[in-house]
Parts: sequence; C-alpha cells; structure tokens
Amino acid sequence: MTQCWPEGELRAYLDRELSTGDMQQLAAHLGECAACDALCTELSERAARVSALMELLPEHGPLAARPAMAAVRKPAQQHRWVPYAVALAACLALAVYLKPKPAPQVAAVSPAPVTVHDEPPAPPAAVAALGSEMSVVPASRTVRSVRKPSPAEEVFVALDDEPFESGVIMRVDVKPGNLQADVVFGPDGRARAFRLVKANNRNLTRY
Amino acid sequence: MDDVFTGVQPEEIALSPAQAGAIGDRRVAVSVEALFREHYGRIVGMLTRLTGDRAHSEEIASDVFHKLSQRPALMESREDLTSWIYRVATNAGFDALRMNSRRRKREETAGLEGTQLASAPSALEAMLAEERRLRVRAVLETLKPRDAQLLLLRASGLAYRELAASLGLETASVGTTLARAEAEFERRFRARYGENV
Repeated sequence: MTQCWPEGELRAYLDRELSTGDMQQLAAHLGECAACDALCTELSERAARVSALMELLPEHGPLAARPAMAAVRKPAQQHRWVPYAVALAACLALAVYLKPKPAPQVAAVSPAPVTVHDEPPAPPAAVAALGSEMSVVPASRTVRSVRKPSPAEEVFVALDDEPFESGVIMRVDVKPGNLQADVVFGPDGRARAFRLVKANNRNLTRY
Repeated sequence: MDDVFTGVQPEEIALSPAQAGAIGDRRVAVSVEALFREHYGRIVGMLTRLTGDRAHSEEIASDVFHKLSQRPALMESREDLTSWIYRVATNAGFDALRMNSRRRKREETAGLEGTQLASAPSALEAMLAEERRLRVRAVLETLKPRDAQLLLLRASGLAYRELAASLGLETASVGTTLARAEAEFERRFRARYGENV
C-alpha cells in the first residue's frame, strides 16, 4: 500500500488543486486505504456543509442594510419620522408665507370685493384743509390675477425611483437664465424631485 | 486609461525606494489603481458576506485603498501588500460586525415580534433565512480573522494560489489551513446552535 496523504493534501484533492500526477496517485491511494478514504469523505461532507452555510451570505447584498425583518415591522415603527417631517414642512411653509413682501404684492388669496365709485373718494377733512393746491390721489391698488401654472410646471420630475411620502419644497435660482426651480428635499435631506419655474422679475410666483 | 492600467505588470509594482523616488508618485498611484482593479471587487464581496451591508463594505474597501495610497512604503512588497490589504479589510469588517451587534439584537427582537404578526410563509422563510445568516456571521466573528477570511474567500471561488496571496501563505499549506478552518467553524457552530448545521 502506498503512503497515506496528509489532511491538507486530501482537502486540496477535493478542490482539484493538486497537480495532475498527485491527483492520480492520491486517487489510487484512496482505492486501497479505507482510513484515508473515510477521512476524505468526512472532509468532503464537512466542506459541503460549511460551503452551504457560507452561501447563505450574499456576496452582492443590497446597497443599504435592509434586514428582512423590516418587511414585517409594524407601520407605526416604520414611519415615526413622518409627523416630524410634516411639522417641519408646515413651519417652513408658514415662515415663507408670513415673510414681509415688497410692494406690489401678488394676491395669493381671493381679493376682497372692490366697490367701484363713479367719483374718487373725498379726501379726509384734515387734508382738504391744507388748501386746494394740494391734491391727494388715492393709492392705486394693483391686483394681479394669479397666474395658473402650465401643466408642465405643475409636474415634478423625480430624480430617482425611490418613493417618498413627505418632503420640503425649496425654490432656487437656476443660472444662467431667468429660471427658478422648485426642489423637493426628502426627510433624509436628499433632493428627490424638481420642476422648473419661470422667474417673474425675481419675485416669487406663487401657485 | 485602460491601456495604462492593463499594461502594468506585477513586477512593475514592486519598486525599490530609489526607483520610486525617481519615477515619482505617478507610478505609485498607478500601482494602487492596478491593485484596486484586481482586488476591490473581491474585497467588497468578502465584506458583504461578512457584514451583510454592501454599501458599508464598499466604504471599508475604499478606506483600505485610501490608506494604501497614503503609505507608499507598502508598495515595495507586492506579496505582503496583497495580504495586508485583505487583512486590514477583514479586520475592519469584523469591527463593523461587532459594532452592529447591538443593532442586530434589536432586529432579532423585531423579528420575533414580526413572527407573531406575519402570517405569510414568505415572511417566515425570509426571517428564518436571516436568522441563519446571523448565526453564520456570529460564528465567523469568533474565529481567527485569517480562518474567517479564508472561508469567505473560498466561498467566493478564489483558487488556492489566490487564497495564498491574500492570506500571505504558501500555496501548499492552503489545504491544511482550509480543512482546519472548516472543522473549527463547524465545531463552534454546533457548540452554539446544536447539531443541525
């Protein structure tokens, strides 16, 4: 009987990592040595079991750590950040709305009914007493119609395919050109969608 | 650009200090690039198996090559350099695995809650598969880093010659090391989770 082979050589034999001559010699030895044959079988079965466990670990996993448990998590745990994001968006919208605006202002809400007079209103008595050479012209009130956005302006273009439920809209200048854009930022701070808006003399055009 | 990188032979990467000084940083940069092209994908794959987080694995691998670019002296020995890259990446992967252990426990708890809620077989199967993955990673974490690295890289299909280079071993001793690593992994797995490997 030929000499027995060490365990490492048997393991390499299973992976066909020996030279052709060694492969043939070892195969011949396994045919005549029950001990080495049993050891080789044991190594082979163990290697298969360990390999099967290693194959459970994906080599090309998801880009972000998303455990499978997330799929069965309760909705309340899944969207805890939504109320905070909505509150933040509401505060920002309120701050933008309450910010002092230079005249002329754009009427964003339905204007109060305007009474049309045939004659200009009489000046206050104190002003009338200053003399006839001083005329008071009532301040003209500019009421501009609210421009309806075109369909193209109403549509946001998503920057990726990932859905999102809330976000903050910020308007930014686009250089060069007389353009502005509304950018939707998601809760994680990433820009998620945008739409182009024509600038109106650098004043905000509200919809 | 591709022509430049594919034209770099392994011998060119092992530079003497005088050569390196004469040729300058450009050659070192090219060598790092060549190593990056050869090993980055394998390292990311190995780390993804280990941590389960591909994005984090890419960060770790990028950090390793950044460190390499900051240490030109390492470029003098190609053989040591390859094993150094894998060793640093593996250790960083284990660090990430340990740092995430608390998060994993929370996920396991969430998984148990999910078991009570989930009725779909697919959800249950997914949870069991994740549980098995966590067990494998937990056992890998207890092994010697070299043994864990060997098992992970072997699972990625590296040949013995490549395994030897990445581990700093002789090719002839890979079989012995691999057989021992497999035996140790199975012994620890059974000690923790029973006979059902």
